Amino acid sequence: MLLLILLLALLAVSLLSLALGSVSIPFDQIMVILLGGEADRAAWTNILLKFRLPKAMTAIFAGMALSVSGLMMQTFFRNALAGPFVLGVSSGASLGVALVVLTTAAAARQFASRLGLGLTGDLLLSLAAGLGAGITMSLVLLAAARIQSSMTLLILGLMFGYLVSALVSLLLYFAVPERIQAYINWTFGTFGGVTWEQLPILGGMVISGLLLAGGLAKSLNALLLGENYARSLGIHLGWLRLGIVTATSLLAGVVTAFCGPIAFIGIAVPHLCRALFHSSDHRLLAPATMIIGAIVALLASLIAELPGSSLVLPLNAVTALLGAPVVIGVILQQRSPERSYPL
Amino acid sequence: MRSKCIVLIIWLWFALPAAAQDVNLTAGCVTDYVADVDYFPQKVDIQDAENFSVAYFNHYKVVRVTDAFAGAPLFEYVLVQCGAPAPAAEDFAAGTQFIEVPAGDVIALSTTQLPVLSQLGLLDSLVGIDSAAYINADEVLAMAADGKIAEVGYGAEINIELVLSLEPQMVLSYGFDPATDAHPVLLDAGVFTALDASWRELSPLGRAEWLKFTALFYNLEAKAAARYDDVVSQYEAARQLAAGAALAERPTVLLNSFLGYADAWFIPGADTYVGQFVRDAGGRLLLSQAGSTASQGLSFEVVYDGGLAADIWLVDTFGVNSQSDLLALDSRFDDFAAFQSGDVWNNNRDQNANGGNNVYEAGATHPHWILQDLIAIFHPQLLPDHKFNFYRRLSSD
Repeated sequence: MLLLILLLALLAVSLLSLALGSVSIPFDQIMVILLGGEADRAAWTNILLKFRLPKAMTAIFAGMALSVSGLMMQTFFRNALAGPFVLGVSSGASLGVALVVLTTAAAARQFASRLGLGLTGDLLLSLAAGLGAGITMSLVLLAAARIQSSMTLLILGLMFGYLVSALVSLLLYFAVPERIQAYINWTFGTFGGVTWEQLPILGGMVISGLLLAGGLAKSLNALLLGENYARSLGIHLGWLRLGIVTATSLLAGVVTAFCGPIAFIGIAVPHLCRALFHSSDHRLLAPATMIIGAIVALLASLIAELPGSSLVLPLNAVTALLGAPVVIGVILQQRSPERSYPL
Repeated sequence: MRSKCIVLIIWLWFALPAAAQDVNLTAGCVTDYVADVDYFPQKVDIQDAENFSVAYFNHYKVVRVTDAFAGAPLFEYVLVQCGAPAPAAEDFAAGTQFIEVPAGDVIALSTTQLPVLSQLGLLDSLVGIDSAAYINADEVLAMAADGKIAEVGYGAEINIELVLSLEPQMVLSYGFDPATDAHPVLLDAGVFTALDASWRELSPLGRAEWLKFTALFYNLEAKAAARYDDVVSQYEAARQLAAGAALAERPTVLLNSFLGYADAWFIPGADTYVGQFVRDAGGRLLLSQAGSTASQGLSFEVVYDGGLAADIWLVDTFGVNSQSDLLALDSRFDDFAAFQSGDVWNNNRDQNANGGNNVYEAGATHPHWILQDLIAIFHPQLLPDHKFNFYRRLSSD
């Protein structure tokens, strides 16, 4: 029932984010365009179809992906502070982007032009972020296969993050100022950089990650009761761990590649969900986090746009500014978040 | 007694003409200081720059820099004629720095200072720079390659030991944020550090006039004034040329000095440095706030709506050389009229292998070169044989 209401809310927020933007378009014109008619001004049709629609879909995909991978990580590590990026996925992606954006080596440029990409191309950035996330993911997978303790894996991910940010600050130190600005802009995050040509790639990868996560829901429930309990149910822990890490890295990696390192949604939404549903059953939580994640992402994107004004705010600032108080409130009300992670 | 008088007369005969000088001393010191002699007969008159001023006294000058960075305090420098006594430090605010002029060896931490030093004939005094990576001036690069100048790094991580070992008489730095800037570190180490606030000037000529600021430290007022007058007359001539264009002939210009990954497009206000260039070149800057001296981060939607029909698009972005580079940033750019007509330009014609752009180096002291480029873009018929300095049209491949 609650799920149905949430779905309706998602629909409403989606419509809202199509209707509202920096350029004000009358609502009847929006309906005309959505129904395939001709708007009074051609630019309006383009703004709606080329900007707002792909942006809204990107926000939905990104919100779903980040929230679900956050949920999995919190269960996997039995840690309320875990998020999609604890395994160093975003650090890997950042390093990839930093390497492309900040180095001006002739080789990198030649490589880029051979690929038919400009040095600053969004596609190239996505590629670099994807590669960075992918390499990190492989390293973590290798470690996951050998290391038994989830806690050790968590620490490894953290250490990897520190290592990478050190490399990034070295690159920043030696970079041209214009490039530093480009890198910083990437870290602000946006849902608006994805065009129709890129959307199928993003969508396809997010959907396959979500399907994998859905398949793991039952095993995740067992994991909540402890690794020994899960093992006693006949779950192969090694495979489960591999599945979780793969799904998370894929989801977080692809979103980071296309939208930048979007903070906070991944940590906050699972908490909101647990508070809303008073449940830790992943068969319910997984779809619920997806929907709430999509709603939160759309709302954040909408607020960043500051409808009615022509300014835009950095998306990452909005997600944290709005998200942090909500999570603080939820956690304080819940009193003991550890309850969700029986040891 | 009589013989003493003769000696005195002979002494005065030789001493007085030396004291009543009619040019500034650009080398060496005053040997026989006389209190009421004006040691700086050649003075500067500041016309366009707003962030520095100078007050002349007989044997010293007080230079003040305001607005060196956002929220900056006033910076005061007392430039004392070498060989003359320094005025009492307690007559000045705490933190006032004293230096003897003409100054000697200098370290320059911004590439914009290199053409200034070159024009004033001071490259021989240059002993250090921040880094050679982004420099375009061949003469400076050659000095760095020969090991005549050292690379000291920049910001708070400046190699202070290297700076001290070079024993410069002053460092020309710039402020941005005292937490990460080089100047607090340099001042702690007791190095005379002058802040160049030219980048905070809003008018192209005001920025170029900072040549006079550096000249003050070398008593080169006359040379700087002559150079600057030349820049002004060339700039004004170009501006007059463009001013003849009727309003209807003025192209609409979309200018984003930076394209980012994020949604925001930074559109400069009409009274910013770039905004004034576009106006002086006879263009109409689109989406720009009238009277504003700041840039605005507008959403792509708004820029799309308002800039689609722009006649000319100045992308001014590092690494964008062809139309396909631009499309790789965002495929929606091909909807723009300027893109379709091929009127998309970038200011990166003259940059070195590391991406150091000469428009920020030589362009700072040669604003007329930038203005002429823009006029040739906006009104090609006004400058039919123009050879571009900084701008180039994006190639169509």
